[in-house]
Amino acid sequence: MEGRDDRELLQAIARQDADALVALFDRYNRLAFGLAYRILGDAFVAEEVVQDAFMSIWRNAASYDLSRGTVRTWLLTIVRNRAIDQLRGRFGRSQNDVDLDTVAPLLAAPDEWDDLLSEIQASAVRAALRALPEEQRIAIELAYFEGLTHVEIAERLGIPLGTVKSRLRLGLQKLHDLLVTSKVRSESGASDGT
Amino acid sequence: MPATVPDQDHAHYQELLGAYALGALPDAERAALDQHLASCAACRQELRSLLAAARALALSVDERAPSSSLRERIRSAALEERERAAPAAERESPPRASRIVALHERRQLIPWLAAAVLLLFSVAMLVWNLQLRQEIESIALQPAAAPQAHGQVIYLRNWNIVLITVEDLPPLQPGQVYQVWLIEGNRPLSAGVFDQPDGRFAVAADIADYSAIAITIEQGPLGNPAPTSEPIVIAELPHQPGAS
Repeated sequence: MEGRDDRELLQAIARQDADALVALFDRYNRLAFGLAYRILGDAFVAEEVVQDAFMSIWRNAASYDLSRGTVRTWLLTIVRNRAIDQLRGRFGRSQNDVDLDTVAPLLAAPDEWDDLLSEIQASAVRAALRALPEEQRIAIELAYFEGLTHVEIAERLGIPLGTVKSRLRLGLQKLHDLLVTSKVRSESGASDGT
Repeated sequence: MPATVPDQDHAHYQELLGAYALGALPDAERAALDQHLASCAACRQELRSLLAAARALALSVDERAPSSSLRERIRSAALEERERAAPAAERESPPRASRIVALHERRQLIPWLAAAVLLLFSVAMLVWNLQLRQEIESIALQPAAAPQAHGQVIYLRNWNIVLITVEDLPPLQPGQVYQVWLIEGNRPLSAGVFDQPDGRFAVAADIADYSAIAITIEQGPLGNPAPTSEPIVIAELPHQPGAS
């Protein structure tokens, strides 16, 4: 078992410690590859994307600001964005791997996000997705896993643009609330057997 | 219509927050919303929870093991980059620079060379089974960013000539070219440009010097000094130390 936490690994990676990069890989490769493969459906390209993402962390670790998000969030954001770029033929779009979002500097206390995300289980996210109204879930998945814009989603589904906007927004709001609820429930103890 | 009412603006932008959090806004709309966010605390507050939900989507996928070689590929890529960064000053004059410089000078791949090598290629293929078995390497170009693209790299060892055949490359936008890269470690050296999605052409190079050949789409007419996009096809070159 690798004793160092993600933050310590990132510091070691910033000092160009290749063992630390491999330790981070050991921790997250199945998740990163699972995400790239889900988006691309092609193991060869998915591995390229994963390698690219780890190399981006290797290069940018020293300048990454952990208050923008955890290492895991950073890694998965790079993987998702690169995979979508590959899928959509937008080569070289995701050059800025240091900033998770252009808006992040504007948002106070961004660590709240990762507070929600830390320790949340895949099963909880899947359950929350299943609990969404289907039309909201479909719109969200088309945006996140296929990289469609709201206009393209409207075309794909044959529905008005305004409907897509509200499905994306309401769906994410609901997803957020479900995740908060499941997190609160899991933190309130194992005695809740439902 | 009277001057814009701020509340209407706010409602308009607020409606876009979900698409924004999912990266589903076209660039212009995204930039406009960025501006609004700079001055709207309510939208920032909402965006925070929408982004948290969007980020959680990555965790919903089924975990999957990549091939067992990926771990060591990443380790060696990292070590190579570190090595390169450290003694960079000493490595500035690569021993084989002359050949590459020559290629830079004629960046548009020259038809006559391609024609001559094609002829050579036909002859070589005829006698391949008889004599040249040891002198020809054939390596598939794997699709990378472009799933339908494919091709072949054929290396004529005794002539130090690399023949590249490509098919079904993704179409170019006006002003773009395909650019061929010979990759030494992680450092790509331009080997020339072309503009046909199907074709055959030749590059003079000793592949023992390089670890891979890749093709990217770059700005024409001359291409770029270094790749600015992901490879559309790539061929890993087998290393054969001691092959004469």
